[in-house]
Amino acid sequence: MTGTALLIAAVQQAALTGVVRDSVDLEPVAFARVTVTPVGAEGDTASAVADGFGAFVVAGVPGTGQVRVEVGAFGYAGWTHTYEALPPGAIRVLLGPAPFGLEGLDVTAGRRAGDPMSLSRDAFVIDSVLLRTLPTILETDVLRAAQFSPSASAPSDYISVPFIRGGSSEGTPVLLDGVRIFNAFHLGGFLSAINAEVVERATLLAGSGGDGFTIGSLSGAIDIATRDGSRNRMRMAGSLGLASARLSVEGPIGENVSYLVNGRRTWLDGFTAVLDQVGIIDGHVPYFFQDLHAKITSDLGGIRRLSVSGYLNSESVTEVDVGELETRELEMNWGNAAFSAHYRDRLGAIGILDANLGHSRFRSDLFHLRRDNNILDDGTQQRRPDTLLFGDGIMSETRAELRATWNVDGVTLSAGTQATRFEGDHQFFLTDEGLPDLDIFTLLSVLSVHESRWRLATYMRVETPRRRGFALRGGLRLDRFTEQPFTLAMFTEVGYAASWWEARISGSRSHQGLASVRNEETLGASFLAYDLLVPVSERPIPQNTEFSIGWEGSRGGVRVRLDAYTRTMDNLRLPDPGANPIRASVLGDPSLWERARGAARGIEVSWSWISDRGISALGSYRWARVSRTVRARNYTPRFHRDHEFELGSSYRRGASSWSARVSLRSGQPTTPLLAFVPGAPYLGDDVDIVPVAGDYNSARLPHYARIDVGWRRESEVSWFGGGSVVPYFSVANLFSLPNVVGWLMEQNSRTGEIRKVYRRQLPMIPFLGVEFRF
Amino acid sequence: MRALAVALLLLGSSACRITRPFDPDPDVVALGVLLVVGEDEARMLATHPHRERGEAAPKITAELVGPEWRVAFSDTLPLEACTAAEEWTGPTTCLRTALPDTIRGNVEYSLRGRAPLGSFAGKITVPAPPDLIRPPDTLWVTIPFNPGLLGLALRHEVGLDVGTLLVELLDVFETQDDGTVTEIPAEHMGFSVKSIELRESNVVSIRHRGRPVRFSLRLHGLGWRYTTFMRHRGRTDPLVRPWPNFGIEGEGAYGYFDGVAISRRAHIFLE
Repeated sequence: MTGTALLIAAVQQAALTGVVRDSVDLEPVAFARVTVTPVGAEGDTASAVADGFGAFVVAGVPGTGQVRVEVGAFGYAGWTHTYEALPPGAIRVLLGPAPFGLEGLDVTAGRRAGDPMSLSRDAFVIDSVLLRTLPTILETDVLRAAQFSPSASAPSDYISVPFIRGGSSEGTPVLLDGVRIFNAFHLGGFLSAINAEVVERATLLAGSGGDGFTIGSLSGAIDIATRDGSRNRMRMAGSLGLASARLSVEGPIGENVSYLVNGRRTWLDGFTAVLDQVGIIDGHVPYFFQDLHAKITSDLGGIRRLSVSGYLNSESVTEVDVGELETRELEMNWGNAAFSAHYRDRLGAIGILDANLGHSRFRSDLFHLRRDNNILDDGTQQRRPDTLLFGDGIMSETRAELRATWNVDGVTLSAGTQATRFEGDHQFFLTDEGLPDLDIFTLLSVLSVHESRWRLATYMRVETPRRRGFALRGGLRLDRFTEQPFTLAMFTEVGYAASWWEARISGSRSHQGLASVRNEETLGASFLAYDLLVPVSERPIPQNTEFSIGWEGSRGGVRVRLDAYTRTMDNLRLPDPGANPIRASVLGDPSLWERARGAARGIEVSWSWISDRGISALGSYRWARVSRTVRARNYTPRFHRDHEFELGSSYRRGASSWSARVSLRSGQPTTPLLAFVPGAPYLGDDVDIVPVAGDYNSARLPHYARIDVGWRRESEVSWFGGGSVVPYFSVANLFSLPNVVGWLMEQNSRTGEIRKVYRRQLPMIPFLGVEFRF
Repeated sequence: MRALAVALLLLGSSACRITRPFDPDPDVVALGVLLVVGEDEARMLATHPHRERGEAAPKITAELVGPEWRVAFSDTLPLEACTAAEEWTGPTTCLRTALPDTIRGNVEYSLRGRAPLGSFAGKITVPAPPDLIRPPDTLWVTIPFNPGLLGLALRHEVGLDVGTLLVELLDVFETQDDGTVTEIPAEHMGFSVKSIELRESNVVSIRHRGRPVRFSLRLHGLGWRYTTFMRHRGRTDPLVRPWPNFGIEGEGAYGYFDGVAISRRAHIFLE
């Protein structure tokens, strides 16, 4: 009834629509606030916030008489214009960079980083400028920057994709232009697969309610939006780093179309091959990755637009190692392909229609052979059964969505429908001896999955304007998973806003039809982020229920956000850790998984401070408790840390900027080793030990501390018609603090001494490179 | 594969390791108690596995409780009275107590005591002796003149409370070419003790040297607590609590407490 009433009211009112753009490259400016005030007449001020495409609809404005339109966005100078009468069509607002202060975050184009907390009430938004104000780890990386959110936790230094509020990666899809990217990283998870050159912003949605409601996942999402491409002239940007080179080219095609093409390729293989040839190192790294992304955007007038983007990446390891005793052959290929299209049109005077279509596909292909070369004295070759692993797999997701959004007197109403098809087909076989070990862990076990499932959903959201006083948000979502009963998801939020602060309380429930084959309790899971997803074929569907309460305030350049949450994740599919899985394979057989339960609760504080003297700081602290229950065993998952503190700061003076990042965390869970109990067999004399440990993950590894520092210097150059060159240098773990990620027991075969061998997190490593923009 | 590790783990995480000696509590005590059916004494092996061998042996107070009796482990015996093994990882002692009655199968016994870090306790039901059906008490077997292997069929019944079944060869006497009879080590027959399947019948291979030989054979049935403990020996990753039932639970005291029952002897003559 509420929706119907709003719709009727909607068609009776006048509205101002338009798009906010950057005045330099004409890119859309997201989250700008637009206010319409009658001039010389009685009437209320109406306002709205532009969406991610810069589009806005301000409803409830007078249809006649003068109106003053004011537009403001963080990092831009305010824009004001008075119209004699409300424009009948969509207007275009061009915002220029803010001309004063905040040098600490200035970049070439003059824009400054948006405050990650100010752009959305329940998300952490990292824009392209903020990305570069943090010390670089190998390369500017959008997923690593997302770890600054107190809701995000890095499972280890080697994995860039963060886990959200006690969930694991399968519950947090990484979306690129609206389509899921499977395994959105390279180098085992160390480096994001998304080229930072094209990132407009990355939005970390910490929960299943609010802005994350339409995604339908267990643990929010990381939504990465790319730029549209320059609309005024051709531009080129890129970087040369230690691991790879990347390049993007963008520009206009005619009046209304823009393109953006970008690619990246590692040179680890070539670089190490050269070092090998000149004798600096022994052997090279037979590994490469590459990715390619392209996007075309057509402005069809007003808020109407059509964008199409495609993404491809691939990774490969190929090695033949002929040794004296054995020959090893290894060939691993895997990669992603994704396509998305988005069409937007007006829907009446105050409505917007969005249509999205996306398809994403991940493929993997592995082959591993180990053969004995041992030649006996009689000249014959000693044959041992070949060690063999082979297999391949794909997982794909196809998704279509239609959404209508209306703005009625500040109230935003949206309704949509989604159809998603997921397919997982993974077949990996190995002989008994065929576990390919990476020195400390195995990668896969026998795996045979072929499942495909549909998910059909319809949803509705209502949001009252964020003004002083109370505000409401809510939504309902009905899902139908193949061979599963209907599920009803919902969220509701009550907020209250005062002059400089606001508070909110919310609850939400969500479902997800996918499970992971990853075993997060293995040591290997701290080094490899790869995952294979499979549809949940048996009832019940995994479900998340979450409640949170939050407070946020901003005064004098300081913004503080405080959140407390509690959540339960029911019907998860997890392996039983009873057999001490530390050395188990990272990717296991999901048919052995148990129905499990997860829980998390925590308190998160984040703050930002931006001064006019070139200094800025961004920090967060998070306390949380996370647990999993499999059968009767309740434990803290190995990736979780109770306390996490992050502080990033940058200082700019002239053309140079310095940045530092401090990370302090409590230790990860580990299982305490209690004793080596010797025993000799009855009537026997060989003494051997039974190592016994305490409760699973009941102890903690040593605390974690790391300081990264970075430096960048921007120089204007006249090459290629003018641009800038930015060399950068950074050091990860400046003091090489010995952080650890886990340990294994090892016995010296000669002395019999038993030792704990800790696996380290990132040691001190310098990185350097140069970025350019023309 | 090392190159792969370097690639995937970026920095060759295998090289990024910090090795620390395991720093366990030196007062931890490891215990081993096997009650043998038919014996009128009980022995307890106790060691400080995390101490150097030259240090003091564990100070244990313990008592064994049987049907209507309770006795304390009060005597100390030479180590070989408790175990054939010599290379124990720390200072080890063999404690003994005389019993007012012999150990009997299918009877419940409990152990309780105090170790340096706290108390420990355990309760077991000693398994019943395996019933050796074949071979009979005396078996004459004709062997070929040349050395070789002989398959000896065993038939037996064991209770469900037996987890490990051993066949033991003992008292092996071989007739030499000059007619003298010499006792030889059982290992010359291929084994002295061998684990066999719990099923009703087994065939064990006996090695002979073409000479007449006689020996005795018997079965030992050991309980599941001991069996489970032994299965976990030599594992590379610690056993996580809750551990399987080894018969003993306690603070800082780990090990096994179980029973063993022995069948009758069969006398085998190979001629």
